[in-house]
Amino acid sequence: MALIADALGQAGRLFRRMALTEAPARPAARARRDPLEALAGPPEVVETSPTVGDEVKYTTCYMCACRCGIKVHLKDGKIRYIEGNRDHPVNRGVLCGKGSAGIMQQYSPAKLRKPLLRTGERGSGEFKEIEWDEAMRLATDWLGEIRRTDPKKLAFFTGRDQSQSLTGWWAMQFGTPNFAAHGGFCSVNMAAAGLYSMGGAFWEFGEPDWDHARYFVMFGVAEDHDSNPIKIGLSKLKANGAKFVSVNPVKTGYSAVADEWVGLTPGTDGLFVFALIHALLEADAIDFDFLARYTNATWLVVQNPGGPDHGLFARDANGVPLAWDKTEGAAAASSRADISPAVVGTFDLADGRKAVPSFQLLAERYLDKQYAPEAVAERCGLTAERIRRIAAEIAHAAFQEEIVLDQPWTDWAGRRHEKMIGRPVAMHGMRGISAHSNGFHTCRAIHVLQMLIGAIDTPGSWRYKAPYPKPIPGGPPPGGKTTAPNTPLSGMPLGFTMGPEDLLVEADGTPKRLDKAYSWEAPLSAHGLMHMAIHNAWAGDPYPVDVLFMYMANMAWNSSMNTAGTMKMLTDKHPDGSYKIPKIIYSDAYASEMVSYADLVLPDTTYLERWDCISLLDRPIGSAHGPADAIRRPVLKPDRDVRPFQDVMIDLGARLGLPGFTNEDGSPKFPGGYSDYIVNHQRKPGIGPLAGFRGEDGQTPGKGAPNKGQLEAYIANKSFWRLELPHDEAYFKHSNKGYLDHAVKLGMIDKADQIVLQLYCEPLQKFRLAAEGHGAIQPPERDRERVRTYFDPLPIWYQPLEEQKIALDDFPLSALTQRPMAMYHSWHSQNAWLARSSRRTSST
Amino acid sequence: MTCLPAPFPGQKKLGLVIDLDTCVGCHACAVNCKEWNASGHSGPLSDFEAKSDGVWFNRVHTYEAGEGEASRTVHFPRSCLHCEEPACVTVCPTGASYKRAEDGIVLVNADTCIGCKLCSWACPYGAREFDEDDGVMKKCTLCVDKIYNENLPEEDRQPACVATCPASARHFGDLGDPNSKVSKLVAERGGYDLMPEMGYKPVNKYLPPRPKKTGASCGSKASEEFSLIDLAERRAAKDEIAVKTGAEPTLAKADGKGAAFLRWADRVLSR
Amino acid sequence: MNRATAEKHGLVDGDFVWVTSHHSRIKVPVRTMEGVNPNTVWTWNAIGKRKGAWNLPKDAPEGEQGFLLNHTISELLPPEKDGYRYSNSDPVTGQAAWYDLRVRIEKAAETEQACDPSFPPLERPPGMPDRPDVLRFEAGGRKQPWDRRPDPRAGRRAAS
Repeated sequence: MALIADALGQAGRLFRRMALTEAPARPAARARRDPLEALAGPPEVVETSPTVGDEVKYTTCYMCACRCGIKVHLKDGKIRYIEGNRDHPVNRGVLCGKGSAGIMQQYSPAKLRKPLLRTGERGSGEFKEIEWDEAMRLATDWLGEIRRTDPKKLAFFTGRDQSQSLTGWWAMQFGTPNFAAHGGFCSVNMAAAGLYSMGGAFWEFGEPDWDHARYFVMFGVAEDHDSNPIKIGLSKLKANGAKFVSVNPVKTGYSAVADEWVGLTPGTDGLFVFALIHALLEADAIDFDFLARYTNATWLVVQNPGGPDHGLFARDANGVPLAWDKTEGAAAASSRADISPAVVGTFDLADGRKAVPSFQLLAERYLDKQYAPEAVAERCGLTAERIRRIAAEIAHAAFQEEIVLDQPWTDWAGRRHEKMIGRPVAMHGMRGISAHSNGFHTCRAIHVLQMLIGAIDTPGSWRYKAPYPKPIPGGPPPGGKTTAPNTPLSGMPLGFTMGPEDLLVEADGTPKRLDKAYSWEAPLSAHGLMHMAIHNAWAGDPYPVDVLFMYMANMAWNSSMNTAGTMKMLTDKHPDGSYKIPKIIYSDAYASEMVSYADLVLPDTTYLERWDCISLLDRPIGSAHGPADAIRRPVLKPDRDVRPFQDVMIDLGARLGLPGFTNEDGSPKFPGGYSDYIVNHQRKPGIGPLAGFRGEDGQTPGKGAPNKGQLEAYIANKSFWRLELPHDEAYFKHSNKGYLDHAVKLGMIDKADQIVLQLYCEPLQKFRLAAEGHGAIQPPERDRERVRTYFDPLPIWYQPLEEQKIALDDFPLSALTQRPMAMYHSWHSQNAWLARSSRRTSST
Repeated sequence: MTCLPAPFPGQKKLGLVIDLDTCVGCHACAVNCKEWNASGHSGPLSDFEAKSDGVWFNRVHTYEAGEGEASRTVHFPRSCLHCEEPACVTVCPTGASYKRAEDGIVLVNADTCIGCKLCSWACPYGAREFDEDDGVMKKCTLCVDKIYNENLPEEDRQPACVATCPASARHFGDLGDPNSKVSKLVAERGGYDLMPEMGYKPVNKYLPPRPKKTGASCGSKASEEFSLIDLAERRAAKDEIAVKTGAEPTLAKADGKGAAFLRWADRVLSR
Repeated sequence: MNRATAEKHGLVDGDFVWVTSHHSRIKVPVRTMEGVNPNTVWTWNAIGKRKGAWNLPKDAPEGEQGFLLNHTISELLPPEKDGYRYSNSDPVTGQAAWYDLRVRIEKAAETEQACDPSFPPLERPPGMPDRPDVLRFEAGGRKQPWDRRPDPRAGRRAAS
């Protein structure tokens, strides 16, 4: 009855509407109508071709780290629709839930509106709005004072910053080594292990060969890193009939569609991989040709226990590592193409030292019974039979289903090969490997497994994304050995250490960086330790700072460990009432938890309101098919008093008189802001933030003079640039002459030398030797044993450090956090559409 | 109370084919649908801060079937199935819910909907969405204002959920035409009706997950019994690598290390 | 958490438990599933919000029901013999080791059926408008001769 009453109640409304309606013509195809329907009036005319929008603009998504191309339809000044850009190399037209919710990100009621200055106690959220002039003056005063006295008193940490080549450069010009982004929280184990082993890495610097892989093993990936490319790839693999194995303690997202879910115990992935290696070695399922040609398996390792050279490569007078040439029966430069190198054996060097090929050390280690599947199975939460079966499947796919492409290519030594022959076993790994304290070695273990079966950048295997591979490791050492007033650093704050001489430590071993990166506590910390910045600034360990400047890093909530403690540190005071962290500047587009803990808030724009570049100098969007980069362009004008963070940094750089940001007469070098910098900044002659459309005429890819019309050229090309590599450069990039020469020409690498894959990682041995008492730079006593233990040139497995320190009986469970599919960072649970989808996810 | 169009031979039945094998439950379909349709034929699709939900034409449910490690996790996208005999239409007292004769799309005319919700009671699939702010019932339109839209390039004339799906788990086409791509896909992959016993003849089809590859491997040798020992033997034979005479066979079996090193010492390799 | 493991602890969906690490503890509701390693508990990342932040209503589910596992993760490892505490990181690269977390779980008392810890709500920065109760986003708007919303309810704020 109630229903009928309700219906009758609505009828009045209905007729009111009808009174205003002109009866449209009855469409021909309309169905018969019930007489009762006559009450309802005429049938509906459906407008099937409405105008979609007034304008279409192409830009780059920022709803996660994928950086997909998007096509934004605008109507009446509002966003009508965001869809994937079909031509874009990353997403090829598709778009995930996050990207599709960009509209709600743009119209979020949490957007900051104007600079804010704290008026109450820190953390109280009491602010007053101030003008930009005042905000910039305050920031310049605070930062200027530091730069004139002690630049390292500025700690500048950015979060999910996609402009790190600018922010790192800014820190370098300012002269503070205390810069990092969120990579230390996120992915540095994976990135460093890859860069030190194969000159590329999972995720950003590489991808599975989705078209040819027959067997795909994914380690520790929930549903991100990356998002759309993995989804596109998985569907290809499945259509091709390949097998997909997901190694992850939790079966959600990608794992749910895997052919086999390996729900192993967290932190034991390394042991699992060693057991696979053990089984493959036992069965001789090893690609020795690949090892001899492309890896350092045959390089001779000096065996001189206790000596300062023990475990280092034997080298010739030019510093080239030696291999044992079986033809000559003598050591020879490993770079020679005409030798027949030994993979096992003990050899006498000319100087009387003994040496063995690194493969021998590797095989001895992993053939040991402690790594047999039977020995590790229980700890991994698996059965030995299952590990052996997976090893057999890997071997089967690699060796019985090899991929042969009729594609001639020329190797590093100039030899032509008629075919490209590949081992179609692809691997991918990310957070579940990376965020463990044994993650670096575990990730290296996976790379060793890939090398042993000859599955790096071959058809069907894991492939480099251009501009990778880079020489191993890629890049110079970190800058910051010395800091001085009004002086830039000697190099970028983040880099790659090759031995103790590259560390940023005082003579007594005290860290030079606030976060203790590149100290004996974390010698290869290529992304810094953002997670320690607030703690160390609060504790004054190794020294206090004056300004903590953060961007897009929600450290007072989900981006910190010990969140409650972090909030206390941010508000903690000295007995004299002054804050332990004296000044905090924070920039964000939204009223995140961190905003309440800032003294000065610089409101950023949304990603649809600014210029940006996705640069080869930073975190590029290249693929195995070739280098690519992209821009963001303003799609909408901000409707509030906010400025793009990058513009603010460039302005601050000019106000502070930083060398990279001012001309000799002191005037701003980039008066047009970030877009000016994107076009005109040159990191090296001819190399700038964007690699496309360079040269004065815009016709030069990679390396060339700045082009005034570069941004227009990008816009005309749907906001990205891409260069498709010729087919003969598609694989074996580490050893492919055509590719290496091309990469030099494009400015992606400096020399066309073969990039030999590092099964055995010599820099680690250098740190270990220092810990064992060799060399001028040695760790402090406290760190000595730690460095000796964990700096093994071949991958090791150890119990995660927290487990080593606690009574496991008291804490019997592992605890993890994973991202839901439709959520990437803290932005998203306030996004009206993504919040709904996560609420539903968690309730279904 | 509302009649259905009379069926005729060769009738177009536009609908979706959803692949449960590749759907990873990412909600791309749901959100992209929301953004297209928020400003589309049935827009806006209201959201309510105080409640956990709003109007969504597409919802993805994730559930587990079975127990223990062998259980299967299924991501199940759900939207209107554009049934051939939709009860949601026939119960409609005003004709607001109707099925188009020309393509079979089930739509709601918001102007004549009185918000009585009879249709949502009648739909066994839960595909109807009542917009409390508008006071009318809404539902999947199969992007009727996109699939025929002459302002869009031809290749973009497909429902938002299909165009955006990163996992290619959604397909759109004429299921009335046995030769269409979608009909063939359904035939090849054993596509099925959701709850056929209800008798509403849903047009949308679901493709079941492909059988999980277990045991040996992929491709042609999928059923072959396979072990690493066999592989070692085959490779040894192929490469003419003989285990050195004199090596203790028992040792080699108990611990392949000794034999392996001897074999490897004999490898002739080139750079 | 794994259903079988939950059963051993006498837990069913919706029960509140204390999750305790060597560092700290949180109180959260349990949800069971099959597809998880039996010795692992897990949660979605970054959904929980502090009340009042992000211009969310102070009673939004993100603040009321959402929680943060981060509270239980220490940025420092337990002390060495000399009292020094290394960061909770990979000793080679300094990567934050937030997946190393180990915990125990204990059923919370009947009287403790809410998430913990809970922090005072954050104030909205000045100048920020109210978050609408009803969101009706529509770009362009279709040209209709009548108002699609026949009866805007009093006291409801809508934004489009």
